This record gives sequence, structure tokens and C-alpha cells, in this order.
Amino acid sequence: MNGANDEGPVTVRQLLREERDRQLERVPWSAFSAQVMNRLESPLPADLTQAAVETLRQDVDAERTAFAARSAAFRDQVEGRIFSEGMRKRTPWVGTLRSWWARPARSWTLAGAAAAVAAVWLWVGPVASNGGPGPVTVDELSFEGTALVVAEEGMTVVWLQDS
Amino acid sequence: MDGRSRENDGASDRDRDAARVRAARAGDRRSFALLVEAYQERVYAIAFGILRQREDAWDVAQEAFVKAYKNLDRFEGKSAFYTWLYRITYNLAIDAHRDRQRRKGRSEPLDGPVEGPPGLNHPSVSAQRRELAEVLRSAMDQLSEKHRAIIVLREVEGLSYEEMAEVLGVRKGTVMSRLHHARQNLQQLLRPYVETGETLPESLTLAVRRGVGGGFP
Repeated sequence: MNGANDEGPVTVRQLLREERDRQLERVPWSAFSAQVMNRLESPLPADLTQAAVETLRQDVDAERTAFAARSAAFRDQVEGRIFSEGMRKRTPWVGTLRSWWARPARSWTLAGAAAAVAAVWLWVGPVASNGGPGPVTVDELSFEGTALVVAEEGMTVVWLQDS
Repeated sequence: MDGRSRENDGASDRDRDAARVRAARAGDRRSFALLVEAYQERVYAIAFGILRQREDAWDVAQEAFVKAYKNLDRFEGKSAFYTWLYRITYNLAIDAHRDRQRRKGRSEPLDGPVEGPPGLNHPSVSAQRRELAEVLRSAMDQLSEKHRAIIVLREVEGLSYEEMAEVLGVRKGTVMSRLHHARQNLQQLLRPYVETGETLPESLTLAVRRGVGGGFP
């Protein structure tokens, strides 16, 4: 059998036998841990699996260290993406509403929402007609439910959905 | 650090994050920047651990923060901000991995049994001559992305089962079961080195002799 310090190809089973022999030289058989025998007979030593996990950990840690040097750039890019996507995703309100309606879960609320909008229209309408075209200020609006606010191109539409 | 102080730290981190989320919702971009600063390395690490590819991990990590920002209103605060953020990262990374596989024109198993690394048993391929890290990385790469993810969350990021359950959106028992299967599959992938009697790379021999991963008792 090869010594522990021998170089060259070797199987896991050989390594375990080496370990067993080392243990046998050090301690009497009665004290010999069954764990070594279990390892010898097991389909795969846990060490090898654990070594794979350890390799992954080392890879990720190395990558984490490399990332630290670029972290400021990362933050800047995240902020840039949030800002630019916020601008880019401002689609016309008609498109926004169309996509909202297209959701199956929303369709059943359409009638209720339309009724709610009609109610608001009737309420706000007279205010607008009194002052003619121009900004309308609503001091207070109370509604128990979900509101979808779409503000685009100088126009604000508030959809109210019953809770 | 004892358990209690770690628990207190966790609670204070959670409170701190919750305050930052509230401020960010109110339009304070600086608060969100602080959240990015606090979690960017870990988010990137999770993405990299799953994807094993630097550029993809960078994109996924960025997308995770962008998505989190857009959906801050949906964050209910029932879980910690970071588990919510990790969940977004996990889902994006899994999607990115699947997209990559689709582009490559092949599919990989998600949770099912795995086959050994290609060529390990082939006599003409001297896989046994590879370096230790390459062999072990190969096995890890062959693991399904979901199994690799769960190993990353547990073994690399050190999340508890409860935290992992929140991230993965499954029960704690499912987490434990999935982790068990991940390790089993990893063993299966490395089995050829033991059962076929193939010789090991020299570096692996030395590593095992030195007791890598806990070593012999």
C-alpha cells in the first residue's frame, strides 16, 4: 500500500484504507471508530461532497471580493436603471388602462369600477363645468377600496375599485 | 456573538430596513440607495452562485433591485426586507438560467435525478486528471439550478431554514427535503470517482489526505 505522502493517482477507497491503517497503528481495534469503517463502505465519503460545497463557497466568496471593487458602479447603474426605466415605462394612459383591463382577474371589477368612475365624474363634473376648462382641485375624497391612479400627459384618471 | 445579541441585531436590522423602505416609498431615493448598499454583495453572491456566470449575475442582481424598487408598495413587511429581496433575486436567477438553457437549445432537470458529469466514466477521457476544483465545480455545475440555489442559500449565505422557506416560498419541511435531495444528487454526481475506482486528480488526493471539509476524525 502506498504511504500517505506518496504521489500519483489514487482512488478515494485507497485513501480511506490508508486512513484506516493509520488509525490501526495509533489505537487498538476496540477503540477504532466505526466511523472510519462506515466511510470505507459508504458509497461516497461525505468529504468529497463537502469539498464540492466548499469549492462553491470559495468561488462565491472570491466573486464577492471582486464585486466589492465594482460596488459603486453597481449602485450607480441600479439608480440609472431605476430612473431610466421609470421614464421609459411611462406609456400613454390609454395603453396602461388597456393592459390593466386585459388582466383576467381585473375584468370582473370592470363594471364596478366603471360605476365608481361615473359616480366621481358626476361629482366632480359640476365643479369643472362651473369654472370652465382648467385645473380642478378636489379637497377630499373618501373611498373604501383600491384606487388606480394614472397620470399622463397632463391628465389624471382615478379608477376606483370596490374592496 | 451570542444568540441573543445576534437576534437583537437581526431585529434592529429589520427595523432599520423597514424604515428605509417606508422612506423610499415616500420618494427618498437615498434610503433606497442605502438598501442597495446594504444588500448588493449578498444579492450578487446569490445570483452568481446560481448562475455561475459573472455578467448574468450582474444583470440579475441589478434587475432584482430595480424590481424591488418598482414593487416596494407590494412589500407588506410580513417578512424581512432581505428575504423578500432574495426571493426576487432567486426567481430572476432561475428564470435567467432557464432562458440561457433555452438559448443553448437544451434543457436541464430541475429537481429530478441527475447523471454524472459527462466523460467521467469514459476511459478515453482523462477526467481523473483534472484538478480538484475543476472536478468539484463540474459536479456543482451539473446540479440543477434549484438544487444549486438551495445549497448557495444554506451553505454560502448561511440562511436558516425559516429564512430559506421565506425566500423560496415553500414550507420549512420542503426546504429540508429539497436540501437533502440536493446533497444526494451532488453525491450521485461525484459517485463515479469512488465506485468505478477511477483515480483522482493529485490535488484532490492531497486535499482529501489533508482532510478537506472536516477531514477524518
